[in-house]
Amino acid sequence: MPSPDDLRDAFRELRAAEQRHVPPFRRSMERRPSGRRRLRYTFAIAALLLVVAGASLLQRRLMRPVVTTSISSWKAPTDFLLQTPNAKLMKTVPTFGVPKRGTSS
Amino acid sequence: MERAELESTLETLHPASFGWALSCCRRDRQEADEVLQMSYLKIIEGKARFDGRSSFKTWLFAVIRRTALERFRWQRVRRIVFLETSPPARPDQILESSERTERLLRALDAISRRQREVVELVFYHDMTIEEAAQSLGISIGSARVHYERSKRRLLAILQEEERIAFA
Repeated sequence: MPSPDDLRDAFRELRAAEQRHVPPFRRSMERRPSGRRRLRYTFAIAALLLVVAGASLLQRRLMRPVVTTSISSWKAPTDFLLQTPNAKLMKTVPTFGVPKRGTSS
Repeated sequence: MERAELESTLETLHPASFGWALSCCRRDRQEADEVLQMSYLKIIEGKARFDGRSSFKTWLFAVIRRTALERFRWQRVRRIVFLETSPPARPDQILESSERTERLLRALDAISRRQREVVELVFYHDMTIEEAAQSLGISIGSARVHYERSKRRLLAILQEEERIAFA
């Protein structure tokens, strides 16, 4: 059965095997990671695209003709909802016992 | 710290740093190389500053680990945004690896990331549990629990592998 000492020995062996192929320190210090540069380019392009899209949206909004409507002629688009059937009944006063004009008796 | 002094310290710790970078990158040599370069740049450009609250090695290992995590997160986002497929794993090929080393690597793959980190810092890098906790930014109690669990689990896996090998 392996003991903690065996584990330590196995790790030591792993370390020895891996450390035989360590890249030189100078190379790590001097070479700029390509991923980083690519990342910067990606961000720059994304920012440029955003600026162009924003500018075109702004321009489109500015170019749109402004339609002004006087407050007295303005009608709410939902006005029709208030026009219920027989709305006329609500506007007149009902009378009782008065014969209608044009009828005898 | 002066730049020359900083470079000299980094150079002294370079082999150990590479070993730790390999561990943070799941033994992918190319990734480890990139992560190490990015970490060194952060330090040289002053984006990561050593404040003397721990040993330089402990702090350097924390920088390497954070850089590796940032890189993995960024790669994950990039894969989602650009609909890239996940790259195939490129584990380190140790030509002269023994059967025991291979068994250990397989066992390390079977435990959680945190457990692997603690046990590697202690056994591979000869750190104390306190130093490992500082490097990982976790409490000593938590590091101790991870250490005990990972040791037990690794020993159990290795024992099982040995049993199968000799059966």
